[in-house]
Amino acid sequence: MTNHWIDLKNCDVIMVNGSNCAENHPISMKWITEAKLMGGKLVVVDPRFTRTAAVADLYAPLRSGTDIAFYGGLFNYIMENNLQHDEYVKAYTTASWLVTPDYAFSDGLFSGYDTATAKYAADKATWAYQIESEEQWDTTETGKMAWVNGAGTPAFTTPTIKTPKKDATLQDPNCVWQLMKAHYSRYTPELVSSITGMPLDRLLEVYELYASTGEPGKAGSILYAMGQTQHTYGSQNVRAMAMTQLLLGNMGVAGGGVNALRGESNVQGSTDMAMLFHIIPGYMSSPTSVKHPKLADYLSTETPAGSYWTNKPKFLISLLKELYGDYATVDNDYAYDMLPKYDGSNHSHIAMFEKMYNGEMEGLFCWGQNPAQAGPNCGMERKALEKLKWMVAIDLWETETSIFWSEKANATPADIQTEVFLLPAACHYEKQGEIANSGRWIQWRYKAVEPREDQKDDLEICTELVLKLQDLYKAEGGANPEQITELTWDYLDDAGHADITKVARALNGYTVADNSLVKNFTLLAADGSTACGNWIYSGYWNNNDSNEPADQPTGSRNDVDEPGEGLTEPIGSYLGWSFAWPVNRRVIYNRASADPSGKPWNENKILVKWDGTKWLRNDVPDFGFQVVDADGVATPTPPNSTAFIMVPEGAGRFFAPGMADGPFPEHYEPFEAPVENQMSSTQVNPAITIYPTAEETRGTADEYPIVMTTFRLTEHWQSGVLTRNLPWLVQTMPKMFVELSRELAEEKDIVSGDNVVIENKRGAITAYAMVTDRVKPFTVSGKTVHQIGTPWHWGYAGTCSVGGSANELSPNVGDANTMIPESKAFLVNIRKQEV
Amino acid sequence: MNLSRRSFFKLTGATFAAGALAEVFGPANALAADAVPELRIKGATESPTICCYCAVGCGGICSVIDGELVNLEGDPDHPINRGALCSKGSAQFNIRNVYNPETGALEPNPYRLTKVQYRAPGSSEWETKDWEWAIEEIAKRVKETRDANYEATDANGATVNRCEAIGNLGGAGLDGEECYAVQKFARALGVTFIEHQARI
Amino acid sequence: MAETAILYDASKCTACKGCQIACKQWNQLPAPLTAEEYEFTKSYQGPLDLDPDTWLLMTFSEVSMDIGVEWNFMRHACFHCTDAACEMACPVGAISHKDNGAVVIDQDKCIGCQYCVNNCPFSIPRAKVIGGTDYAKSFKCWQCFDRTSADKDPACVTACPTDALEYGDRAEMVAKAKARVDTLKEQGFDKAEIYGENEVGGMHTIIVAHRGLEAHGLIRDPKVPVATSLLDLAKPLSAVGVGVVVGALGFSFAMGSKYKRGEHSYDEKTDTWTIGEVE
Repeated sequence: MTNHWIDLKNCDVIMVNGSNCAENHPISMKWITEAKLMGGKLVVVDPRFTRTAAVADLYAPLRSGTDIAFYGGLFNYIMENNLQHDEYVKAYTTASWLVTPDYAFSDGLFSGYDTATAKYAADKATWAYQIESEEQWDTTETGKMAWVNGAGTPAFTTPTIKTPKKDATLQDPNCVWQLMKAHYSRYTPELVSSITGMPLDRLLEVYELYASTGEPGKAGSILYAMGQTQHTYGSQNVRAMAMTQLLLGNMGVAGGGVNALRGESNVQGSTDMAMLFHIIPGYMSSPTSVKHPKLADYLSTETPAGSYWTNKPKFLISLLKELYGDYATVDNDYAYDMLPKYDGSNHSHIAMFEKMYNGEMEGLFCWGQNPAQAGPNCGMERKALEKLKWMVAIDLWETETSIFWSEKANATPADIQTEVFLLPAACHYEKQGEIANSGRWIQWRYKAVEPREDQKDDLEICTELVLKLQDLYKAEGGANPEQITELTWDYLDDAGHADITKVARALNGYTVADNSLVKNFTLLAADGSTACGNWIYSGYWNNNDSNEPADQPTGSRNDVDEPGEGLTEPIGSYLGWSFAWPVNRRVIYNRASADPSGKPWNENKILVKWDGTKWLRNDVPDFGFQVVDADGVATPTPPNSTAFIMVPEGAGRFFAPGMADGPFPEHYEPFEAPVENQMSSTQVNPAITIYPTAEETRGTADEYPIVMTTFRLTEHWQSGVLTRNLPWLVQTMPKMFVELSRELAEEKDIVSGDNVVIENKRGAITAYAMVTDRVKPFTVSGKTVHQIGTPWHWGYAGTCSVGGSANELSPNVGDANTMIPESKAFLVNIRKQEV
Repeated sequence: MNLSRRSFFKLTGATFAAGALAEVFGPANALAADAVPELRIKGATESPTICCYCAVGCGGICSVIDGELVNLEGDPDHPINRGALCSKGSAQFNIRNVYNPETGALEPNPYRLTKVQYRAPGSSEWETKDWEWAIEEIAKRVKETRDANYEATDANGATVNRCEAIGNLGGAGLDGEECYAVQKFARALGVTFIEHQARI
Repeated sequence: MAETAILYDASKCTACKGCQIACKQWNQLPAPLTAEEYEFTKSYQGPLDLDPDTWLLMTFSEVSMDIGVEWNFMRHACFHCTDAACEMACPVGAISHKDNGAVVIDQDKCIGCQYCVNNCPFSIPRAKVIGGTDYAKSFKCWQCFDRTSADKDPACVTACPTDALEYGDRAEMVAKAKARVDTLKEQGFDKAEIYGENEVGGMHTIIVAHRGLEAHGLIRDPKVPVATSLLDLAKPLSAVGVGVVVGALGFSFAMGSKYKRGEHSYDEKTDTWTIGEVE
């Protein structure tokens, strides 16, 4: 979330699209209800009528997989009717920037597409901005970037600052605004209605209501979740939301933003900590052998010319110092070689299971993850697991994954040679530690009770493994032993057990010389003098006088919403409750909540305000609002027009050259779709990767005419192992089911309560039929398209409730940028189970 | 007296006895005409927690008597949820304990794992093992696989120091410090296939 | 203690069932432990009905519209009536009103006759055999009388995310409900109405039904069975009088009870009950 949960109360219009927040984030409704009571409107765009739709002011059904058509139509509506927030767009976005005349778009393909590789050219040369002038970083002794030459700072080639050409009138045919206008003029309301199946009058009603937030001072928020990301163009869906918010001036304002409602309690935190192949902690790219074999390569290619990310070398060197301690010196490039380098190819979940399926992996750790049930095409993923020599699963329960070899999984145990270690874990209140919520609040959880019998917390388990392996490598040697033996692991208490507060210190960062915690990341250095495991967490554990969580920013519990100094009304920031990254900021890009002169767009909902001499603040400013000299004297920085300090452009992007599949979102049909693409002859996102196992099991509309989507319920959670073993929850939602329309049920002679089979080339599952008017057929280019939905919470493990796994049917094909699988729109057929 | 629960947590750190709170707030039971049943969490030690399900980050209060969890409900001081919890949040108690349908007694959730389980190649069942054995054996497997599949340099001579034969999945249910530790561990083995729930 | 009430505003409810489980959590109510004991309910409602261990149930009903449906939710639990049929029917005074209006079953006094079960116009109380005994006892929502006595909201109210549930002074809750109904009508919910203000003598659960009582499954103008109210009148009278009414009541509970009519009897001479056994 760019904003946070409580901030939802500040919204004038909330558009929930690709989320079902009332069911999956129920407490969000506390704040949405508050907004509604103050006159705010709730719009729900969803293929299914959900419990969120039940309390919406406006519900608009949309065929799953057609969000970009919906947003493209919205852009067209806004631009044609001149409903954008004009001053905001001109001041804070790239609308006026000029793009190279080589840029082109034709029949669903952007310029630079290589049909042989099925990818766009890596240099994106035809998606570049026109450059006005170039200059170099000022690294002279008194210059802003003098630190680059400091002793101990590794040498690297500093980037070139490129100033783009602009046309403030927005008339140049190559300016972003005109390119965008031309691109989306194709998305007429009639065509969008025909693609999405959303009735035309309802479509226009939604457009009109949401576009009303373009009025200066009005705030619109978009809430999304996996309904937007689990598509082969999921990243472009998110781009489309960001563009909507920039058009309407909703980014960076109270009650605005693009808000990803994250599904697991610490999925924000685990992402921050880089439990992903492509990043290392703090959202820095994982090094590859192709782009950055050496430290200098990394720093030279990854340090951008502008934005706060110019400090990246400080964050990276501090991370290396945390990882390898005294072993990391300027002479050995701070142990940069010890970071594994992948080859630049995709190493994501789908790719990993493809490799495993091909017999190229031996071992797997699963820390509370359950791919045998939750992975796309999970039947294939179970086949992949069979190829492993060993697997370690750490969990509270038996999971589908840890018993993939069993008869319950329809497997033949004697044929499967994988050794499985299943380690009993402690649950969240049986240990202590920090978790980050969707609004980036880092909150401390205390241990309430001791785990039972042999249950242990994950940190203790990890620590025992590290210490054992360090001993083994010290004693026996082996492949590059230093990589593991030189790793710092000083997270132990006096008894030799893991001490999580010591990891907290490492994450916050400290000065190496005296082991003193740094106040925040502005004090990190690139010269080896500081160590910090994750720069964005710096500040959450910075009290040197205590080791008690309650005395640290993360543990702070001031539940009074106080206005900033000089302001009379608070805005829901609760700056005294826990700690939000970065630097306790609650609304990202909050500079954009005020006009270029610093006057808030809405005086009743102030995040920051320039009062003529200084900034008044209800939040921690997301811009350089003052300069503090060596004596601690602060000089306020007067307003300018840079509202987006974390993007290299310093401005909100309508045009995104960094995307793998085009600078503008374009509608394509899903990997498996019931109809042809009405926008172009390019049926599917041309930049996606399709592995053989996905192509072999691809279904067509002739055989499998029904669109299936997957969803979640309030009463269960994810793969269900943490809820199907809880009797109270099972009682409230006891069985796996499929929602289908009355029309489809009649066609297939199915009534509620029947057992039905849902199938495609990837698998077949059974479920109870729930026939309901909450699901209705769509009319798509004049043709009736049926859609069904099933929750994906069930599987064969667990005792209170077992049932078919929806992911037996979902394809292992993913988004062109993120490889998030397309679980929200694929094809199946359905029939009544013969008794 | 205007002391909130918050002030107590601040004064006493993580936990405090609810009995003390009752004295401050004075439920005035004595004034009630009806015979009042005693609050069943009277005297419990309370400690704040954050819900383990979605990422709203709702606060909860665990009440513990004699070392056992007896109640888990919303934290009334938490600014996001102000005591509210959804069905899943309200059922967090069940992760550890259930009530027996026959006797009504509080019992450990019978489905929780309590011991290390090991499944041998070709076997159709678990064997119960101890931790020492498990850590020893897992470390051996990791080392064998890593040493046999390690790549120090690639075809172009670049230092890569990686082991692509091991994968590491998960993390969204772990604490942040644990996530950091686990990926640090995995990367120190040279693992590049590090993924978790955010990807799917 | 002033009269208090729970206010349930269906227009704010998202049917997250936080209240339903918070009730079980606080009141230590079990649920079955094995999959075989559960059945598919054909809707989002689970379980299908109240039971002795489920004192609050969210109900779901839907009406098809051109686009989508009207999905109507209701909190089904004891209304804590002023003219409480269960209390009137209880021959041993095990059910009583607390000063705040809560209707509470005293399990120590309950003899398992199930007259409350069979006379409640809303079928709220449910009986079960107590583990290890032959005795049945009745159970239902007691408005968390232990919590309210300690200045805490009932567990369901505490858990509610959207303030669809509130607890407080009854007059204040009624006023709030009326104001809310007015607002809802202005917003186009023509059928919005209040429930519980006057029904069965006034309830201690006040409801805002924004799509009208029927849409939410509420009984319009509920009545205490005549025989039940007779019993209440008869209470101060002699045991002979009680016996007459008990006969009439027995007739009503034979319809739905799992217990054998013939084995339930009251001996007025010895002032003792014979309790039936489960079929």
